[in-house]
Amino acid sequence: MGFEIDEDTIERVAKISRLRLSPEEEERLLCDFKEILSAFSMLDEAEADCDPAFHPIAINNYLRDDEEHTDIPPDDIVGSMDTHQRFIKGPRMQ
Amino acid sequence: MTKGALEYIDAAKRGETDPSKYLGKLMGKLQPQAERFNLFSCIALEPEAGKGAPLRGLPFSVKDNICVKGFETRAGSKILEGYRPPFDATVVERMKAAGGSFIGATNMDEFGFGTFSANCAFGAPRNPFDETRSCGGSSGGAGGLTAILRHHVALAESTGGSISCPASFSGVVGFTPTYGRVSRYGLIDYANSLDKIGLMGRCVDDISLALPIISGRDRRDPTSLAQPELSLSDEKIKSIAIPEELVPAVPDARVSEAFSGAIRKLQDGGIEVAKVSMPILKYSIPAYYILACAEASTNLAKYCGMRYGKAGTRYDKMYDEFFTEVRTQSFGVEAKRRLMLGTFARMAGYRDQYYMKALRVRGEIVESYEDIFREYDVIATPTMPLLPPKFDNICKMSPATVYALDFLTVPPNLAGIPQLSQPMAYVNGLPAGIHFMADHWEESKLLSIGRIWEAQMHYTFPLDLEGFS
Repeated sequence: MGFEIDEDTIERVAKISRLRLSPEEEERLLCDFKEILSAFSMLDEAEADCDPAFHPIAINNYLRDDEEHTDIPPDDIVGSMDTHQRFIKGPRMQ
Repeated sequence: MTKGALEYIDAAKRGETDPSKYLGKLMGKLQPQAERFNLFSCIALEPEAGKGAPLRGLPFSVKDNICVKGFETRAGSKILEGYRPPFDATVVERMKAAGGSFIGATNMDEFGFGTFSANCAFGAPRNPFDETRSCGGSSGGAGGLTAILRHHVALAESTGGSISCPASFSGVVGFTPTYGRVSRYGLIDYANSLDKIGLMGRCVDDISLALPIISGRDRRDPTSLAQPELSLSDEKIKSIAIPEELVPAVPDARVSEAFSGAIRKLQDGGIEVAKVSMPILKYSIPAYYILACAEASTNLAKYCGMRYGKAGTRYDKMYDEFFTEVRTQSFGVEAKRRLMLGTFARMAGYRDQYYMKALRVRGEIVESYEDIFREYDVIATPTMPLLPPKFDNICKMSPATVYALDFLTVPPNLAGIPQLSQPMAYVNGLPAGIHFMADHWEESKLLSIGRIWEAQMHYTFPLDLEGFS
């Protein structure tokens, strides 16, 4: 895995992860990433030709019956959220 | 013979104990000890006694990442502080319906991110064998609680070894079923393709008691599978395979010597033991951490301060800044590290190199286990490569060093095969575990080898709380 991880990569990954890092955290994570990815680079040498195993065992999806029902009353769900007139509050979009 | 949950159930059946009185007495004794070892994330102060067969009011605890209706469920994270689920997880629903008495949510690493339960936002659980040491992770509270409570089963959860590891360090029995055997509905996800709800107890009988209750397909969880019937009857165990790449890598000679001694005892009992080669297992750690972190990074994206998790308050901010502020303030150090590792592994340019390669390696690992189980009944290794470590030493370990210590528990979790950890020896008063694994759906073989092992091993516990006396 021949690439060098640097401060820019850490900043970019943090931004995509919706995290803000202090300079100390950034320095520490850069150091951790280098050590971890260096250890993980052994994957390069693994001979693995089989299909990707998204699950450890075959999963057969099945569909629910097309029937209307309520598992949890909507008021119980909305009750745990910050609301205004039963609308969930959220941040500005613009 | 270790006394566990059946002792209580037999007494209740005979009418010798009243579940409500038993529970009242027990909680009075338990609360100070649970606080001393920080075992609960949230204890039920006045638990309701369950009624009816088969559990007849038997106390059960629930790892803090499994939803209990109306009870604060935080998954060890500040981002879920104050969350009271409006529903029971399927496993909780089934335990209550079977007459279990819910006594509280057990402490854990934040979202299951850890080997030592040292990454909990609410303080680490301390090992009842030695308070300066870890209970193991991530189901550390469940392990410690089982070590001090005689009549109880713990609902725990494993992604990469989070039941077996704390079972080993806490000196109890831990059981991880086949992936898909037990519904994950109501489990707060870490990594969907790896998470499994399982059990901890004091003996194999505790597992045999609760496993049929929580098993079975659940239409609310599409990854819970149509499955062969769970058999609890004894099976003849003829052979054990030992992967030759793993045991020599154990750094603590006291653990490897205890394992050799345990295997000799099983051999003396007439079981054939053979060393087998599974070279692909050496790639398990990178494959596991890449897949687990990748899945975690998508699962935890929903905690943004609005729909899930602690609500943000700065509605004057733009959405991106709002989400970032809540996540930055609420996630712990290890959670941030794993979210970022997972995000990195899925990014354009790195995805094939990391994520897709890890998926292929997992496929090879699954095939490798299938090959071994064509010839052998079970596989055995030590559970953890070391004795329960001191917190003073844990804080000096780098993340990569900690991840590498999971090399014995991660491979069977990648393959989704069932696992059983039992105490195999006590070294200077500290427990070490033996780990048995069987093929998909062959839980009965594990319960059988577990009973064989228990017949010749005397377990000891640091405390033996019960509500009779």
